[in-house]
Amino acid sequence: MKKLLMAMLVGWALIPMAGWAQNSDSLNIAADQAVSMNKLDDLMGRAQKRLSYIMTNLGELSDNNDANNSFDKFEDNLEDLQSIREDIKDRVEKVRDLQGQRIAAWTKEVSGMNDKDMRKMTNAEIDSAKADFDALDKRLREVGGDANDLTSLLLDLKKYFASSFTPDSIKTSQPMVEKAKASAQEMIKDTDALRDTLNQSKRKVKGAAGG
Amino acid sequence: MKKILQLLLATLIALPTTNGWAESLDKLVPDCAEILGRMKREDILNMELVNEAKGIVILNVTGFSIGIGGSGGDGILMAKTDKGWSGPVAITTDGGTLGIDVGGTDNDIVILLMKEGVVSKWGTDGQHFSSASAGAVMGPKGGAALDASMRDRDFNVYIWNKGAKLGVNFGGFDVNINEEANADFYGKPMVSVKDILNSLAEVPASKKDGMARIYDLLKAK
Repeated sequence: MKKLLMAMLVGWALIPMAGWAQNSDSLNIAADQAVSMNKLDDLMGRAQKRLSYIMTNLGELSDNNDANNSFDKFEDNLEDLQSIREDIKDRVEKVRDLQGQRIAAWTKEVSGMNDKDMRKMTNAEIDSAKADFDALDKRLREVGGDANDLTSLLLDLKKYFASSFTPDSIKTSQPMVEKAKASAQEMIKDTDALRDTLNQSKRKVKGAAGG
Repeated sequence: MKKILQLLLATLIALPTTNGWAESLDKLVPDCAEILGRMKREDILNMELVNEAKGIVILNVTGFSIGIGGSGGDGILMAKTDKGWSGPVAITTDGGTLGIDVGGTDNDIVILLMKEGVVSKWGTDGQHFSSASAGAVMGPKGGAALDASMRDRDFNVYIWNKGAKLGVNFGGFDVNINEEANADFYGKPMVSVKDILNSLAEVPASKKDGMARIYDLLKAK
């Protein structure tokens, strides 16, 4: 009886330790992923601000209101925007990589579970986390594609003004300027919606990490 | 060492006042949109209350070491008119405490002004809000049920500090109108705050795109 009690006690002490050790990998990665998503959100906010400045620069340029100065500001802001976009691309890759690592670690943890119901429940959670991230990733790719188109348009405008910058050439460029402003406006709106989705996803990841 | 400290202290004291750092509205508008967007996204702002507010103040306030410089903020004030939200008025705040408990912090603040008289007060240059008269309370969270007291108070305050929710520590500060920024933005040297807040001075066409995000964010979902 004493031996049986001793064995039960040892077993009891080992089970939670094993669980804790296995769980910690996916939980730690989830915490890193939530931090990375926060950084991505900040970068998107910075990109939105740059786009907003660019729209003002284009508006002032069209008004011929200190056009040279507006063009200089436009070039500076476009350069900043490109740099922020590169940071966003790197950060998105980081978030994707962490998602892959998290799911892999989580899946490994499930394979070590003995209880069938627990395994089933955790697998359902993993599927839900995958589906949630896939939806976010789809939006990231769509908005990213639109951002590429917008950046190309803005770079074309920059090239155009660099080759010809007169009141007439500014006037001629108006349809293109208007198109760029409308695309920028759309991009700001889409990014706000994307950040809402990112934030909801981050909350779930953070929840998984116990944050 | 003592001399270095004295020199540092003298430099801090000699730093320009808040007005010296005042930003242009071209920069303040996207900054304030970002503050508003974050508070809305994080479900901090109660959008039903935003709907009922007569005005809104969006500020970024930086605090310095207590006893040296108080705090300084830059932001915008807008009023609700029959035509919808007015254009922005650039404001600065000086001294006092606006959600700042310790020195060196950086707080984003949204204040919902629930009465027209309070909007006018914020739009008057050199107004002093004393701790006693401010009568501000932390606004209810997004989705919370509203009661009459929330609608009847002068202000509902929302403070964001890197995710930490701070208690209301609000008062003893001055509000100044950044006339230079307003004149630049509206392209009118003598543009009056009253005209802006009553939508008599309209946002110039070239600036409307920049304002669109704030107007969008102010719409309840």
